[in-house]
Amino acid sequence: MKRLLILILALLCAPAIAHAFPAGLQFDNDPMNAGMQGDGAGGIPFTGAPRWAGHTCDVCHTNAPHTIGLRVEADHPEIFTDGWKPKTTYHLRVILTGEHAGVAYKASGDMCGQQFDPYTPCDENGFAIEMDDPQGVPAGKLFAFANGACVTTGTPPPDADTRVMKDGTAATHNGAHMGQTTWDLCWTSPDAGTRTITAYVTAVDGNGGDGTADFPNDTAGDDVAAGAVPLPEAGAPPLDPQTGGCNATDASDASGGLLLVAIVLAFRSRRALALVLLLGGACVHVRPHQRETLAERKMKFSPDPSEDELDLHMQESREGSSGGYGSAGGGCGCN
Amino acid sequence: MRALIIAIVCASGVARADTGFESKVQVYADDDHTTVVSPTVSATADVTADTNVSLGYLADVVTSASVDIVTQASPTTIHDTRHQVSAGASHVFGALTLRGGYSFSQENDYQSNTFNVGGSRELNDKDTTLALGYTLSLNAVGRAGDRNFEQDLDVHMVSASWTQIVSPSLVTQVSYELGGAFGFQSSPYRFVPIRAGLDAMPTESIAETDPDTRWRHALVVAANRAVFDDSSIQGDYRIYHDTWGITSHTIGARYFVNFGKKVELRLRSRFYTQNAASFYQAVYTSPQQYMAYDRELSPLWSETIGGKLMYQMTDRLEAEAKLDVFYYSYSDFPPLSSRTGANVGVGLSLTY
Repeated sequence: MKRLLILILALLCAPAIAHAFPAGLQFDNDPMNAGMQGDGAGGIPFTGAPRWAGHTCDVCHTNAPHTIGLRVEADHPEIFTDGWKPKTTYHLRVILTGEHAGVAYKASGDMCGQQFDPYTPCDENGFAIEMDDPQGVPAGKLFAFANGACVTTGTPPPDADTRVMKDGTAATHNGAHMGQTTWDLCWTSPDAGTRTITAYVTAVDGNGGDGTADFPNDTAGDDVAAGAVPLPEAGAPPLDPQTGGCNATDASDASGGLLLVAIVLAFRSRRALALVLLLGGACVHVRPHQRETLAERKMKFSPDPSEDELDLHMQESREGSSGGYGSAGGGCGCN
Repeated sequence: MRALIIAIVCASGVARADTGFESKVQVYADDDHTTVVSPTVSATADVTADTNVSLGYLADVVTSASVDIVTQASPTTIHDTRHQVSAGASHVFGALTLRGGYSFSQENDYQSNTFNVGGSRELNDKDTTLALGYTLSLNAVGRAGDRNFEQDLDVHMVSASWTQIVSPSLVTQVSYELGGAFGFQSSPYRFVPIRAGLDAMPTESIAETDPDTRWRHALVVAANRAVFDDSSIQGDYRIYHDTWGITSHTIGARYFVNFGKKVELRLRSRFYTQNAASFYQAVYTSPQQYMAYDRELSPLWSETIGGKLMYQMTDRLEAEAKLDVFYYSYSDFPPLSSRTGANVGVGLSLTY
């Protein structure tokens, strides 16, 4: 039910967001609130975390070429190797690398947008991050970073890089400045025993809309990157790799099992097969760092094309059937 | 502030290095007196970060005294060699990959020019891949010792596939292929005996006449699942039907297991069964519009089992050896009831 709710929210969000998110506040705004200037995400930061069914900025910024990259840095580098220490505040930096969209407008800096005449598109980029425990629940506390320090008390200045969402579970770009490709924020780790924390992070390389003042922040033509960074707890044993997608390892594995069963039963229920395939494709998202096994040769459907070609040529000259498995090359095979 | 130190890179751009050289020899032998030795060499190279080209050569050196040959008027053993050269290229445009290729095949009595184009697109953050392809094969069919015999066969094939990553350990694929063959599809060497019964002497022998048009449909569903830490199991099922009335079912299974980082073993099984073409008869008592004396158009089933061992000799060099054993059973083809044989192969591949 929770997964269904998330999917419905995401689907509602997709057509509603005619604008990107020039201001981080819009992530908290109601998606349908006509009174707002611009649309909102209804409290969903689209970090790619399991609680959002793995959805990232790709949900709205569709058809991204995925040529940009993401990098996460920390002032205590041992957080990535030795692990995080309880109740410690870390200064983190998210960096968008390989920016290419909207770079023509970068020189304008903040001197862009509809309030300037002539209108100049803005090089708007953004990001979102959240830190989740092994159960997919946000852990620790996020803060903005401003004037060289973590803003752990009080209200951050309006031009801070990062804005923490109302419920405190994720952080996004604040949107105060254009052309940004780095964002600073702070995170105070949770109590001991939480074990591996995963930083789910995603970013958009905005292209400046369609170049006109009429539609300055459309979601077409942008680029998107997403990643997940596991942060072990110092001194604690590592966890098994998480699988993400549909909120749990078990959920995705179960759908896989159903799929195999459906194939076996293809004769008896083709509708069931189609339904399971559709469900599998609709709800599961496998993160890039989870594809180590999938990249291995043993997971390829055609791991040795030259051998397949020889075998198919032999089979097709010995049987009355052909097709469906790729090319068997030319020639007769008549003997 | 302490220096910020790079911790991890989540680069979206994926290196697509695929440069290498491969050489194999496969030997086919069956108890129907046919031996085929097939040496292959191929090379592939990334000429840019997004562009890959490939070249290949393949030969089939055939020695045969199969039932197709010995049942004809002049029993003998034939020797033939097929040469095939191929070239291909692919280019990655973001999530879209386009490819094209050409191959030329030449043998004593058969020449083939094959063109293929296709594309695949990654969707859903690379969880989904959709692919389309088209292949055109233009064939010239001849007959050894008969310069006046020349027939054409054009084959068109359109394919579509959907590959879906279901979980970090499961990938599925559904593919469909539509083929259309137009032209001469009989054997220029086979003659159909007309006789009153199986044991009767033929009154005459007439050249095999298959229909000139054949539409083929093939649908394949497949799944590949990682199991344990070092293994995977693959399963596929194909249902096939064509306008000559043949329906077939193919069930394949493969099991891969790694022994350390250097040794990989593949075991496989393939079961195949088909009915007869609608115009096929074991005995023709009178001439028909379409007649075939072809075991491939008769009802048959087959089973293949085998293994392949791959050994990583160095970081870049891999050796392989394979053995497949097969059995074909023909329930309604009088000259031959079964065929047993093996495919043996060795190979080396070098990758950069």
